Amino acid sequence: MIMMFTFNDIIGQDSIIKELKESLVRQTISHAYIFEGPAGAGKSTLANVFCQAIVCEDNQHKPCGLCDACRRFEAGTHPDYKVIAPEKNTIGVDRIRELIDDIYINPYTADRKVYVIDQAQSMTVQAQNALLKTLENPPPYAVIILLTTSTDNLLPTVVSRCLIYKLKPVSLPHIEDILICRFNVSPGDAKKAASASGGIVGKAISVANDTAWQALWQSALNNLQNLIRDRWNVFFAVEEFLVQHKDDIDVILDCWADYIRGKLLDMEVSDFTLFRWSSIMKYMDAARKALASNANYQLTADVLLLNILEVVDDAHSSGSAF
Amino acid sequence: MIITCEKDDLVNALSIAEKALPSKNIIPVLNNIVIETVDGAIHLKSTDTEISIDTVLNGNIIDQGSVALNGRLFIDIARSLPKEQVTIKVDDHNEASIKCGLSEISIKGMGTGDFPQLPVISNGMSFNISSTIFRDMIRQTAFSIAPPDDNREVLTGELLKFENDEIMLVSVDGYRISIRYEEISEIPDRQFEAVIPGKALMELMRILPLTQENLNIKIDDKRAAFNINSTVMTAQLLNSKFINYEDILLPELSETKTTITVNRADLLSAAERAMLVAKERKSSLIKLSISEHGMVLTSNADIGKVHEDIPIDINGSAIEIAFNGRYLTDPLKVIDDEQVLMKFNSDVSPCIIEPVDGKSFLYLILPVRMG
Repeated sequence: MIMMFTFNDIIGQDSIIKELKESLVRQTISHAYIFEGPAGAGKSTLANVFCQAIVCEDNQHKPCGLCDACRRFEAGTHPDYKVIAPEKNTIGVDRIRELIDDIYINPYTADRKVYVIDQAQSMTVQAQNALLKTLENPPPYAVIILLTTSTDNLLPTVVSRCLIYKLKPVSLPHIEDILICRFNVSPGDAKKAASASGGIVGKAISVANDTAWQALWQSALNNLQNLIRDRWNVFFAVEEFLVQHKDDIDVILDCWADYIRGKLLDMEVSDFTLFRWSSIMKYMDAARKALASNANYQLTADVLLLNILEVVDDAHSSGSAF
Repeated sequence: MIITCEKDDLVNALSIAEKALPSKNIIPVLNNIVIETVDGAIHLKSTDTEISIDTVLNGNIIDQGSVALNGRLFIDIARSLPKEQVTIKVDDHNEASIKCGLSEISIKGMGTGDFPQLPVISNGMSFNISSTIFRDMIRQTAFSIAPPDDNREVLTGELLKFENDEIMLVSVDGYRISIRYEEISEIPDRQFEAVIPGKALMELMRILPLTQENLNIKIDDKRAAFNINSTVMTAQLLNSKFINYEDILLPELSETKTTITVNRADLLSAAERAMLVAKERKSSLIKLSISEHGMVLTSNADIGKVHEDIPIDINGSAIEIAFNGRYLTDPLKVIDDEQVLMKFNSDVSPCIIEPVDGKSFLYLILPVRMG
């Protein structure tokens, strides 16, 4: 387990980092935090760096990465830093009671004791209730950080006792830059990965290095272009493609949306065609919503393809190029 | 590193170090026991961040060095060895070969760099006490430490306090208070209070030898270190102020309507017999009827009833009072005196158990209201 991060490794959360750094300098660290954001937004990395900075023994640059505390932290052996993660998808009341038993014992070496509860939304209601009293009135040295995809899935009584930082989606050009500069991704791949990421850095990084993903993205793009060009001749081929990649439908729709976004931004396209593209976009949104509420997959895919073909056919019959 | 030692010495030292191995696997490196040669002595070190142990292994150092070995595996191996001299040899890759008699066992270890430094108390206050006395102090108070899942965390530890030339150990669980006083000859330079986790005290009790030795206790605001023979056990303190038990105790001590003197063993065996029936019910109710004719101890459940007559010396008025039987037997089991004093005020106020002479212990137990 090697963890070596600094605040500079966290991308696009400058305002949060500024506040956290200030709290470190002024010694105004709160006793309980919630870092909220989608998977891959950088919650764990941020918590990791912040915790290391809290236990770091250097007075100037926290985390310094050089002191004894940092060295142990990076090796995963710092005795005053503990991470609680779900077992079998939940964090039960017993795990929280263990945390509470532990928290009232003085810190081992550092001035503070830090606890990170990963995927805090997976705490059972009993576990959250057990945590309440400690969250409200922890010993002076304790810091508890809850990481969650959404505060809606936590009890309001838990949320109200914590300082909340929401990790924002990062702008797509910024993600592209980072992929190119820090991860040596080619500009073309970086653009694809960025637009597929929806502003989530972790997702962009994982897809940029994933050749299977890139192949899928390319064939999704080919299928859309084929559909528009060859229309009914390829209907069943495209349908087959969608059925085969049922689990990756989000990626396919992301890819199509990205292609259409490019068309919409193209200044030479006429208003009339713009209108057609945006109506395809709407059909795709409708399909996404239907799938999110458990609609039949193949029916939804068929409806989407038929709708797209209708728009394309309409364009052809009115003689305008698509 | 190369060291040699006798099998029994190794097992003894490891059983001490084992006390601080973590029960949960939160920080993997802590599952190790560190063997280290420092200033000509072989040290075994372990910690679960709550308790840390540094003990010296009796043996010979042939070559200096250090290694961290999986604690439980190392202990199992050591226990299974024949009763002969053991040679432990560690190579540059932290592989330890344990040779004893005709057997040789190699286990993979790791460097000691990632193992936390054990905490040291540099400027705390310090005093000495006989190990057997301190062992008794824990034994005679530990039963009323609140269980680990109690919401009042501070009650899961015991208060160690120095006041008026006396060391005292206090435990409170919400139904009873146990206090053990001991005068010490060497007086610390200042008064102090510390709350030591119950778990640490229980482990300390197991480490303290049965023979009388000198126990040195050092305390600062974060931790307490217990130094006995060649072992130092350090416990992180609970970070809370102990509850103000004196506020509960003082009013009870000021007024007493009935005082009895009773043979402890008689009362204990009577109460234990009464418990056999009483424990059928959740409240484990035992009733005491005290008058100038003596004490009648009864328990009553669907399955049967117990009636015990116990001779007592009484001073004051007659009283009827009921207790949860366990709360009555727990202190009687740990007291060593032949006779004890029991003081009552009313059937709804606590009973106090004290020695006939002097002031070495005090137990307060809440009664059960009789329906």
